Amino acid sequence: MYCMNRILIVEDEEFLARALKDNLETEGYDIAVAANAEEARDSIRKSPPDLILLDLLMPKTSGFSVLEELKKSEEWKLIPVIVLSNLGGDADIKKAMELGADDYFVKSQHPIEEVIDEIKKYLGGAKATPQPQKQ
Amino acid sequence: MLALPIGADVEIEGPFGSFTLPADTNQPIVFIAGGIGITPFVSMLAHAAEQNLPRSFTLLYASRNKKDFPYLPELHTLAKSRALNLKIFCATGLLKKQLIRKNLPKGGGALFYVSGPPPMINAARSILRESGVAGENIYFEEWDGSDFLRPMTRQMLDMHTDGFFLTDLSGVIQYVNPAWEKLSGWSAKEVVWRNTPRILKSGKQDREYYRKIWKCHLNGEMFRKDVIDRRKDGTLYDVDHLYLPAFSEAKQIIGFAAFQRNISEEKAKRYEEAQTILAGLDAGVAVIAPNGTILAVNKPFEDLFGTDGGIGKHYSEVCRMQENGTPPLPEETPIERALASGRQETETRYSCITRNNKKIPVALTASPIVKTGEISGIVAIFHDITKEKEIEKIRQDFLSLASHQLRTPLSGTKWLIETMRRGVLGQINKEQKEYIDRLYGINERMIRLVSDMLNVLRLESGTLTIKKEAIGARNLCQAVYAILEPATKETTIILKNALEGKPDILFWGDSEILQTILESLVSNAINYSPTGAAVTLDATEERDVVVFSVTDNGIGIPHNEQARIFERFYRATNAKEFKPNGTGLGLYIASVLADKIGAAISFKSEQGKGTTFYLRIPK
Repeated sequence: MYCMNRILIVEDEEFLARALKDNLETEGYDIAVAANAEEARDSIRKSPPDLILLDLLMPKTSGFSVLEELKKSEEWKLIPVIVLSNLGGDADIKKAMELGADDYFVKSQHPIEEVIDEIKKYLGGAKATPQPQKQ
Repeated sequence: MLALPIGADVEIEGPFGSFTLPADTNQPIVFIAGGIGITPFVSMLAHAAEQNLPRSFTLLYASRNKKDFPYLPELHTLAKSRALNLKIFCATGLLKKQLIRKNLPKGGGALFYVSGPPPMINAARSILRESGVAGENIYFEEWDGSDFLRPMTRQMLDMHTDGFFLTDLSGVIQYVNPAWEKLSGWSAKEVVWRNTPRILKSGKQDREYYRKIWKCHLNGEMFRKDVIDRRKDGTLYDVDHLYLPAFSEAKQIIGFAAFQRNISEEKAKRYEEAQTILAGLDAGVAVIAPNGTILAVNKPFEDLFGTDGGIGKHYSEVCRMQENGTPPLPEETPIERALASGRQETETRYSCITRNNKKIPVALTASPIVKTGEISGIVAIFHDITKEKEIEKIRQDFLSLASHQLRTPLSGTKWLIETMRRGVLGQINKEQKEYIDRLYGINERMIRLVSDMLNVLRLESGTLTIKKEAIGARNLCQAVYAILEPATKETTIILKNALEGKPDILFWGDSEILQTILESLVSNAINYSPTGAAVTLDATEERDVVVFSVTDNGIGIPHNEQARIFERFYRATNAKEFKPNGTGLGLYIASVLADKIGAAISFKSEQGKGTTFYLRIPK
């Protein structure tokens, strides 16, 4: 018996979402990807994730608004949110943390492995049977 | 002892003129002196003592108050000398009949010398006559302080265009020149021997001013100040006062003098010129007294803060200042800081609430006005920096967006390459790994370059905020160590925190900026050291500075290139060979940051042996 943790990646840049998805699936996580706020809401309603990786600078609705919405919602406020953004200013980091982000990574400054290690801390390290590696 | 022929008149020369004693040495001499009139007798008695004249002297002296008995110690000394048979009787206040009658020599026949101001002369004359003293035995010398003015000096003062007055030790006016009469509206007849300079009092000077004058007088010093005096008709005028003590030739203070120059017109003209200049300024200007009262403002200040600019009110009531939404502590405002330090102080983090209850960001500069070594006020300039703040925000937003847009593709390539390296897409062979590693290295270099260039832009745009907080050097070194020690595992560099276990060094500074500088220096040391070498981070305390040092045994800096290593993009030749991938911005950024916080970076280095960088921070 195993438990598959579900992670929702909210990221409008396809290549970044792809890199995260491929690595996290290798680690045994169940991954959903949303390219904008609307897709994210749909995905969460359909199947609430155990953790959300959230980009900030997205078209139409920013990640800040999504974060605020999540943390104000009774239903979803307990889902851990790790912000992954290339906005590296103190003001942006402070704003995100004040809105309730659980962690903040400036993408260009951290290897993907560090992000994965951090995710494991939140999801208790429970890992499903590894997925077959892609050829 | 001088042998004097019997019967010869003796003339004694004194600094105040000659004084003839009669030949009969048995005839007693009585000096009656009032106020400054004692002055000639003092020197004459001294001369008489020198000449060992065998006769008896009696001195009857009256003065307004005991402070005017400055010559008494000298007189007592004379009285004790064998040459003089001198008795001294003093009275405080006006000359009284009793003082004279009680001390008239018995048997009569005394000679009387009376010296003093006219009222005293008249009183003495009347008392002596009532006592039956014959007129031929009385010598009068109507004496006032101006007698010691040499004739030439007197003429000069009479002609001088500045007002001049002279008082005795108790402040009674002895002499005024015509210019003073014209200036004050008082005539000499009305004031000499009748009044003190208090008649000029306007009420515009505080007690401290008068205390200072007396203190200077009694110390024999000059005192100069612009003040406001009052004429006889009650009108006020601005005057430049220069107070001087008046000395006798025997170097004793015998009175006080003052030059007065009317500067009302000059001041009005300067005020008008200043107002014209100030009105043309874009910024609100207020002149503030040391106690915080607003003395004068310009039109832009009134436009900002309200009608009449709040003249007479405390500046905190008129200029409602805030820092992050709350009023700053009074002692932290630039105005109070300038008053305390005597230097110009500036603050750009404040907002002010305007007359329309609008909140605007201001740059406030407070400059002390220093006159004769004292701070007499503050000039406070309030500059509305709304536009500058908007531009700053636009610049910051641009930088933020630019950094995001530049970093996004770079982080994409970074993570995609890492994904390949981790084998997520399948196993890679040795050649593929080599290429991918190279790609990764180039990408990392690009990331660093973009990061450094954005930091340089941020620094040079002046958007850096500097904090002041309590810092422990040990914690700071530990933080740097914690960040960089993992990186040394790949290169087996041994990073040492020399402060571990030692007493901490506490000081004030910006910990974030300091950490950035130290990380840059330590990172450089690690990058340019061979495998297995040691890099040591240490801190010591000198009198007024904390000195951090980063020491390595790495490649060192060639002597002929040492002058350039803090330049933008400059990399020493041996550094480029040892590690091709540097950006050349690390030391430049460190030096700019150090400059911003008032710290200094220096180093000593020898090529092939190693380098020590020093960061000196004032405590």
